[in-house]
Amino acid sequence: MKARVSTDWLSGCSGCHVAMVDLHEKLLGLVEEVDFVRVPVLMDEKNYPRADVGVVEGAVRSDHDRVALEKMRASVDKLIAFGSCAVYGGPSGLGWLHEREGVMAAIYDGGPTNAGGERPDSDAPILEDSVVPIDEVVEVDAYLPGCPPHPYFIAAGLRAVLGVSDLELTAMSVCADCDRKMHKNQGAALRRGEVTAEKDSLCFLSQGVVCLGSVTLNRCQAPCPQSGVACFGCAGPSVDLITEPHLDLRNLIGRRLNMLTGISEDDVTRYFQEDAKTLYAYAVASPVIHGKPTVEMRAWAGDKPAVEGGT
Amino acid sequence: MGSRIVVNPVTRIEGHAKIILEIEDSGALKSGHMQVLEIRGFEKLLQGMELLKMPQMTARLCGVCPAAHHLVATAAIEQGMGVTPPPDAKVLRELLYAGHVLHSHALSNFVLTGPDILLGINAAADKRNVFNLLAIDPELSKSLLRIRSIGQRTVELVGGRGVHPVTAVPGGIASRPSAEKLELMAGWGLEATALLEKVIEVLKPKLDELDPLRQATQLPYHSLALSNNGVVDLLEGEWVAIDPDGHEERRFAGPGYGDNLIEHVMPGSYMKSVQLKNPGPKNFFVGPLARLNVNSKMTTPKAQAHLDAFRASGQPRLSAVDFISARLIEMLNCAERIGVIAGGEIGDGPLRVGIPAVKAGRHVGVIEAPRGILVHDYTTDDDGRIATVNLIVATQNNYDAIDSAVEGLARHYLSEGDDEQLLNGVEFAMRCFDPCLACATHTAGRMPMIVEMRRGRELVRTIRRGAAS
Repeated sequence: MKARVSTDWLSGCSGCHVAMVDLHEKLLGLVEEVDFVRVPVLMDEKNYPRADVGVVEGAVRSDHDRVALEKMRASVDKLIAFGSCAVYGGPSGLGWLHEREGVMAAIYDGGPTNAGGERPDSDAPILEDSVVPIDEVVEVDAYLPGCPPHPYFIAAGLRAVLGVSDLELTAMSVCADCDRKMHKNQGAALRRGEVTAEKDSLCFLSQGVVCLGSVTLNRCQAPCPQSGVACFGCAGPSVDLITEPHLDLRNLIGRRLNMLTGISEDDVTRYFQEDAKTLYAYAVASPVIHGKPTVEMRAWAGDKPAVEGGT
Repeated sequence: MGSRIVVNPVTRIEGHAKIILEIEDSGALKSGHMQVLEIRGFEKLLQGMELLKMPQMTARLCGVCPAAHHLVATAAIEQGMGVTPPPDAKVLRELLYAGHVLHSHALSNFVLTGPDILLGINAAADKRNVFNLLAIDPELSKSLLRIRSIGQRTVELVGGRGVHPVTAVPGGIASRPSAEKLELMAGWGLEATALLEKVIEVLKPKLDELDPLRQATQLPYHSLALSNNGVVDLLEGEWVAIDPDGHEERRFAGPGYGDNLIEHVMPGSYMKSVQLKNPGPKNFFVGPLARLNVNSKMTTPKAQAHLDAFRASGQPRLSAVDFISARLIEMLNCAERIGVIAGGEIGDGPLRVGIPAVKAGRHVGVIEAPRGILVHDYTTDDDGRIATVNLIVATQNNYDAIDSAVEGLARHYLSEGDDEQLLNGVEFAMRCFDPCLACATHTAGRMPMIVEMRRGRELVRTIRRGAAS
């Protein structure tokens, strides 16, 4: 009997589902191997039929999301947190930094076109006080970060969870798939805010551009640095950062930039703290980042009070 | 007092929504309304971020049309800085975008709405999906999926990634595809053109059969689109509105949108609607049909021939169902352009020009997303970080038109007394617009399909396909 797969999306962008369609011809192979019993973007099944594996995209923002997630968990044997929003909060998780009313005011008041002063009535679902990754609501069996994960890792991850093939996911950073060469380049200046560099064959860090490839898990095959753009860290932290609380993006990148170029580590630390919202954008809502003893995310980038025991 | 029907969740669209039908005591339809159930609030989430990273960050607004956000953000920053990218960068962005629109339109017309067109709105709910289409007509289905793949793979080769491309940067583009990749894309352009010509022949009689629905979803609205001297141009042009009789109503340049548009909150919904103002309020629609109503020229011969034939049968076209035909013509245009651009329009000139330091100011970008006009408007503080953000996305612009089409098809199907057909009929009305609620509320999600039938505030009946509650 074919394995049954059910999917859902919460607060996210639907890009992880599109990435699944981006298996292209391989999707047709997957359709032959598994039964998709619920895929809201493709099918009219509105319920949560019994399935072997549940695949959930997006974070939990509203009571609507929470209820859907609980129904999905109850209907499946194994649950995959699919994409950076489900795993770490992702870009949706940036809402973790802000008071709910501040978010509403930014949407509905001010600006060139808002009538102003209007709010959705109580018929709309209630936004929760904050945004959380899905494992703060239900138990998760497997994590597949990425924004979105590359279709290669989607197929590999699904097959591993289904027991079709052995787990072949690696713990490498994005650098593993990047052809740029890291060389010492004493005197290069810190290029805050920039995402491109002059030389195509030289590591961004050697050119003073803050590339997060070395501190980001490779679930993408490094398309950004390979196409001339520094890594934004969209798949979340690399394994060393997940397992070692005292390590943080800013320390590791600061150390590397300093050794390669002579840029002061303090300048890098200051940059990461001043622009934390951009540089930590994809994992802000996860305790993996905001629970680190030296990270004060809400103080750096938010307007909500910090919580006990971290941030 | 009347009663209320709710459809929740709406499936096969991109996002979370529900439909409310208000019913009079007489049983006649009073109103139809879509509610959008989620919000992320990117207007707030982007505040304090580095301006220069908006092209990559705002792509995350939407996984279906990330390239639209990627390019409008780039255009906004360039507008604010007064920077013009070099010719090779412009044509590479056009190539990326042609691939993107091909993907997005194919996803809408073939994968999401295709089952309605090819299997029929009255097909059983558990059969009305792309998997069943594959089982019934694998040859045709594979062509449809292949066209989408060609679009998305073009985005990947030019933009670095399919979902959430990254290569456009203020001042130009980060890299040039290799000669091998260009050759590959040139071949794909020809292949997609040939496939589309066949698919259009197959779909045309099916779309003709939808004539009763076409009549039931006439929109007495203005068409609003960008126009580059009468040519459909997704990346550059002036805003032009024409009235339902086809007369030009207004014309203005990009940043002037604040004097011409107003947004309001709608009942039970996180998505705001938009009307024309000064003078106003006036309802309008945007998207592929609006583009083909406002403009009479396309940049490629095959698409031009189809556009001429489309316009010859009455102008402007005002039915929600006509959006599907308009999308096919635009897809043909994109496929032809992919072949032409990749086949020889890219030179070996510079890819980027220098840009000034970021300072306090305003940056306004306007482009045609696949679903219609998209605005990103950022103000920056003295340190060059985002202070405020205004986003107007295509599906918001179509909110009133979607409600009107939902009403039209609800009225059409209510009289038949078949809940299942009513459910899919009103969902189909929404799907014609290819609503992207990920964009529209800067969230994404399930497509709900509850129809709630309400009498005043009283919920009389909920129709939820096969659901327990």
